[in-house]
Amino acid sequence: MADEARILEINDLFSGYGEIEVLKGVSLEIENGEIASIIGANGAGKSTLLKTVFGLVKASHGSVVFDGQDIANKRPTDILRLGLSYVPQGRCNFPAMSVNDNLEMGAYIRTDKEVKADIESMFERFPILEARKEVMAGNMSGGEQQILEMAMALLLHPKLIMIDEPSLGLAPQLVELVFKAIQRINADGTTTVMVEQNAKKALSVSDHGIVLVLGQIGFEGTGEEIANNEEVRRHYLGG
Amino acid sequence: MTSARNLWIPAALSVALLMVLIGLPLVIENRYLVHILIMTGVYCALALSYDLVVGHVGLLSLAHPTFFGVGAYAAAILSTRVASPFLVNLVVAGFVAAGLASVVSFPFLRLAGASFAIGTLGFALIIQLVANNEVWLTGGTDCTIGVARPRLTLGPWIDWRVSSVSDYYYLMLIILLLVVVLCWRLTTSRVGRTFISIREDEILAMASGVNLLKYKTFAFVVGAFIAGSVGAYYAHYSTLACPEALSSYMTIALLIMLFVGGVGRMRGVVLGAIMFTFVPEFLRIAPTLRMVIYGVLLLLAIRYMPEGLDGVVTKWWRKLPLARTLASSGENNQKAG
Repeated sequence: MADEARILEINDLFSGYGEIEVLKGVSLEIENGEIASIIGANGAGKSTLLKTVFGLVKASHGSVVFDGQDIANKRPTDILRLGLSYVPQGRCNFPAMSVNDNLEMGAYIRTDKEVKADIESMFERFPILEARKEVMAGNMSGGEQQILEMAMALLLHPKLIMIDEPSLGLAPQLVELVFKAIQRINADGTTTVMVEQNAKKALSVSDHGIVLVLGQIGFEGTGEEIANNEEVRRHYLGG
Repeated sequence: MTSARNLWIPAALSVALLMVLIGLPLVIENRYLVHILIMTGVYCALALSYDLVVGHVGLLSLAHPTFFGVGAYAAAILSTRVASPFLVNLVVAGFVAAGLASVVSFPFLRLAGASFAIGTLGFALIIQLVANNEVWLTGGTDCTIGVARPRLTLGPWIDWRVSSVSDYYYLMLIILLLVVVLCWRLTTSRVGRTFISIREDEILAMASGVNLLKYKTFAFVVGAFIAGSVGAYYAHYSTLACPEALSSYMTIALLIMLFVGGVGRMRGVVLGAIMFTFVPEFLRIAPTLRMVIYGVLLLLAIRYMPEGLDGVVTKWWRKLPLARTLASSGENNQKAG
C-alpha cells in the first residue's frame, strides 16, 4: 500500500544523457500538499531530475513512485494522465497560437465535455487572458505568458505540478506575481515541486527545500532550515 | 472569433471565385493557357499537401515529389498493363504512395531536423534510380507511355469521357476542390492545432500529451496520399509517366511556392503556387536566367516578406476601409456576446 501522505517517492534514481551520468542515486520524498523547491548549482541535475520523473530522460536505475504507481520510464502522456503535470523551463506556450488555442492544448489529453467550461473559468480567474483570447501568445508580455502557462497546466487539475524555473527571465515585480500564483495553485490543493535559480525567493515560499549537489542530494530540510543552513547560504544563497 | 454576420463575405467571395474558375475555359480559347491553368491546379494541390508536412508539422521532407512520381507511375502501370479505370488508379496511386510513405516514415521520423531532410533526399534519389534503371517496371528513360484517357461513369446517368483540355481542366478543378476541403478540414480541426503545436515546440507538445510520432506519421502519410493521387491525375493527363516526374527540381519549385507564398497558410500556398506556375512561363524568354531569378526572388521574399505573399496581402487588406468596418463590427459582436 502506498503511504497516503507521500505523493512522490524517488528511490536511488540514476539517469543521464548517453554516457554522461547526471543523477547519481537520488532518493527523495514529496509530501502531499507541500511546496518543494529544488536548488543547486548549474549542472547539478535539477532539470534532469524533473525530466527523468516525467519520462523525458530515461532512468537507468531506481524507482519513481507517484501516487502509489511506479512511473519510472513511463511515457510522458501516461504520466500526465495519472495527474502529474510538468511545466518546462523558459518559454512554455505555443507563441504562434492564440491564447484560446493554447488553453485547448493545455487540456489536450482531456476528452470530457467540461473542457470548454473549465477554459471559461480560467478566463474568469485571469481576466487578462479573456481580453487576449484571440491574440497570439507570443505577442503578450512575459508576465501574461507566465499566467497563460499556469492556466494551461491547471486545466488538467493535476495532483502534482513540477515547474522548471518559473521566474526565469522575468522582471522583479513579475517574479513576485508568479510566486504568488504558485502559492495560490498550491493552496487550491496541488502539490508543487519547482526548480529555481532564485533560491532565496523559492525557499521563502517552500515547505521543503532540497539542495542537489553533483547529481546527489546534498542537503534537505524545511524551506526555513535550508535557507538558514550556513553551508547552503555560503554556496547557494550568496552569503 | 468570427461572428456569423461577417462570415457571409468570405462565403460570397468563395462562391464568386468558384464561378470564375468554372467559367474560365469558356472564355479562354487558347488551349495552351488552359494547359497552364491545369498545371497551376496540379501545383496548388501538391503545394497544399506539401504544406501539411512542411508548414504545419514542420518536417522538411525533400521526398514529396517522389510520392507524386510514384503515384504517376502506379497509375500509368495499372492503366497500361491491366487497363484499370481512372478512379481506381487515382485511389490506388494514393494508397501506393501513402503505403510507401508509412514504410519509410518508420526510420525517417526517428531522425531529428536536418537528418530527416537528408534521409528523405536519399530516399528521393533512390526512387529516381529505380525509375531510370528498372526498365521492366517503369520503362526507364523511355517512360511508361499510352496511359488511357479517363472515363468516368456513374450507372446510366453519367458517362464522361475526358478528352479535351477543358475536360481535363474540370477534372483537375474537382480534384483541387477535394484537396482544398480536406486540407481545410484537417488544419482547422483539433488535428490541425496538434500539427501546429508540434511545429512550434516538440517538447512542449509532448508535455501536453501529444503523441508526436503518430501525428508526424499521419501528416507525412496523408501528404503522400494526396501527392500520389495528383500524380495519377498527371499521368492520365500527360498519358505517360517519366523519370522527370521525380526530379528534385520539383522539390525546389515546391519549396519556393511555400516560402514565397506563406508557409503554413493555405491562402499563401495557393498564391505561391499560382505565381510560380505562371512566372516560369514568362521566363521562357530567358531560360538560362530562370534559376537565377528564382534564387533572387526567394532571397527577396525571405528578407522582405517573412510571412510570404499572404502576409503582405493581409496587411493591405487590413488597411482597406471595408476590412476595418468588418473588424470593428466583429469586436462589438464579441463584447455583446
